[in-house]
Amino acid sequence: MAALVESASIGLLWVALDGEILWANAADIELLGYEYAEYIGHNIREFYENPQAAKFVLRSLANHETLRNCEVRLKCKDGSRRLVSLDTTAYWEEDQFVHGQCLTRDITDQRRAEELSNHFGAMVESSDDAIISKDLNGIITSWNSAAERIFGYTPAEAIGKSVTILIPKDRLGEEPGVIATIRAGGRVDHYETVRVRKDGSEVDISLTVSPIRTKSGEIVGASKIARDITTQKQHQIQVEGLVRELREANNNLEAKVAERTSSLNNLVEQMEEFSYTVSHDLRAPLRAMSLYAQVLLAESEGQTDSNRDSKTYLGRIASNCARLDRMILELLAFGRIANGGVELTKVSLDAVIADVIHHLPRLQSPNATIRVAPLGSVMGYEPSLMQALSNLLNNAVKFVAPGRLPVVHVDSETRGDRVRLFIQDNGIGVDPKYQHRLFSMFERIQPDLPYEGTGVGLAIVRKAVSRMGGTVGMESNGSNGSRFWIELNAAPRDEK
Amino acid sequence: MSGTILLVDDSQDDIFGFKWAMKEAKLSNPLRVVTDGEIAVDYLSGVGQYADRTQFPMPTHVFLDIKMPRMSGHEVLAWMKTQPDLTSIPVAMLSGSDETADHNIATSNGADAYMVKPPTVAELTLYLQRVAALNPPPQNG
Repeated sequence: MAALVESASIGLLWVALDGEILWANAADIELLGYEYAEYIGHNIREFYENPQAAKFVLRSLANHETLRNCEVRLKCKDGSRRLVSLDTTAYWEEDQFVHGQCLTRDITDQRRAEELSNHFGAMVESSDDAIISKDLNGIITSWNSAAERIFGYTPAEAIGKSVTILIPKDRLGEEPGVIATIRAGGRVDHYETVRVRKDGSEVDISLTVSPIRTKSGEIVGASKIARDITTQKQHQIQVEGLVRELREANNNLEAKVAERTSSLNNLVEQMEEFSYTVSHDLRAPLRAMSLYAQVLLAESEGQTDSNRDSKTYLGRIASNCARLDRMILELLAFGRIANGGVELTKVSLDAVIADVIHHLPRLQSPNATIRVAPLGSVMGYEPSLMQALSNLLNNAVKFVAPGRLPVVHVDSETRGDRVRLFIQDNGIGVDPKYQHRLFSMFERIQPDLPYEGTGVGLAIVRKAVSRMGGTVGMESNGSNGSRFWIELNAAPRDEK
Repeated sequence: MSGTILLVDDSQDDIFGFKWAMKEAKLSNPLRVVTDGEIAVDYLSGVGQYADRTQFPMPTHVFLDIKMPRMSGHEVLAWMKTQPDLTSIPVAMLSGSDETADHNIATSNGADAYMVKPPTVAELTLYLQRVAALNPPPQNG
């Protein structure tokens, strides 16, 4: 019995009520790493980390109390600490305390293992990935809360079942391969597959499976980590879709740009061809008419007075030919201006308006009344300005109710470094809902009304003004006349 | 200044106008007229009927309309400048309009003048005087 006690793996110690160590077995002495003499005869207080704990043990011995699994920390010779579990009993003989008997079990490693295990357990529980363990028959042995969240089964529903409850029918063939890999000590890393939830829906997961071994290295099961990659997959699909859309949009855009460029080039070519045709073919007969009129006129020189009327008429034919030729040339010049840039110079609006009125009888009394306030000067190109203003004034007197005398007011105001010229008429006005279409080519707002026109006039105005860096616009309430305006940069003031 | 003038133009009206301007300018040069570029090349090369230089003398001045069917005035001028015995004949281009592009081509091809049709009396007179000063008339006229 003594030999057994001496050689037991559990520490055994006798202590006096004052704490003096009376005797200890080898296990007890070795536990803390002291020599016999450093331990026996010393007080247990010296070896307790917390002196209160020693006091407590001694008091309970004095009180006839028995302690079970009392955890205390003891100081080792090397300064480290050991956590031990004490069982104590007081040994009495005829009401006389003989000694306290302490059984000391070292639970340091056990506790550390428990803590580690709890720690890992907490990690497993808090993981966003499903962490599942299974035995080699594929039976689920553990199930964390992420597994529940992802697959929908509670631990109670899952543990004890085969992992095949998670595998879609068409993928059941995957499992034997995985099990075989695990049995052979291998692992499966980030294998992207599909699993099925409790409700039957499928979930994209990335699977990592590794063997679980006992201490001795025997493989007894597998741990599976399943990451839900549904969102990731969806993002990937979305990104791929966007990339595809972008590429298509790009291709479309390129095609569209090429198409537009070519149609624009065609248009420019057609325009140039048109100009060339007008300037050559259209002017040729005009030139001939002019020529023959001149020849006749020259031949009638010095003849009698009876031919005076004929001479006058021939002169008018010649001058009209010349005028038409000038107009054609101006139109062509305007077309060229519109395609190129124009050089802006100081132009007097008063002079241009006066010139326009002078050349167009329908702007003069008694056909119309045009009142012009002092207007000032702008930076412009006179032919373009002429063209714009004659179109605007023409419109101002054209679109009036039958029987009504056109009355037009022309004035201007300075707006910062710009000058805005207004042409206010007493015509039929333009319904506000059509006003945005007014300056477009070939738009006739009132095609059923008996007013002549091709719908080019205001388009020419806009083009001419915008070439001079200006803007155009109009205001009308649809009944009480219209107020058209053009705005251009003001000319710098003359130094006087 | 009195050498033969070759006018190349497909428009009868413009031919009439040219003749009238010559008359007004009191120019008495013999005038030969052909109505397209290819015929002009035949004339200047002296092929076919144009081999007869008494009836169709080598001109001392050529007036070339630019816009003609089959072979344009530009092409005739360019061809002339490749023919060694024709390069010294002064050539005036006639055009229906004062197109910058046409003007530039004419100048780079070596035209001596660019006139918008119909040339005025003054234009015609001044031009003939100018080229005469630069190129003395051939002795055998």
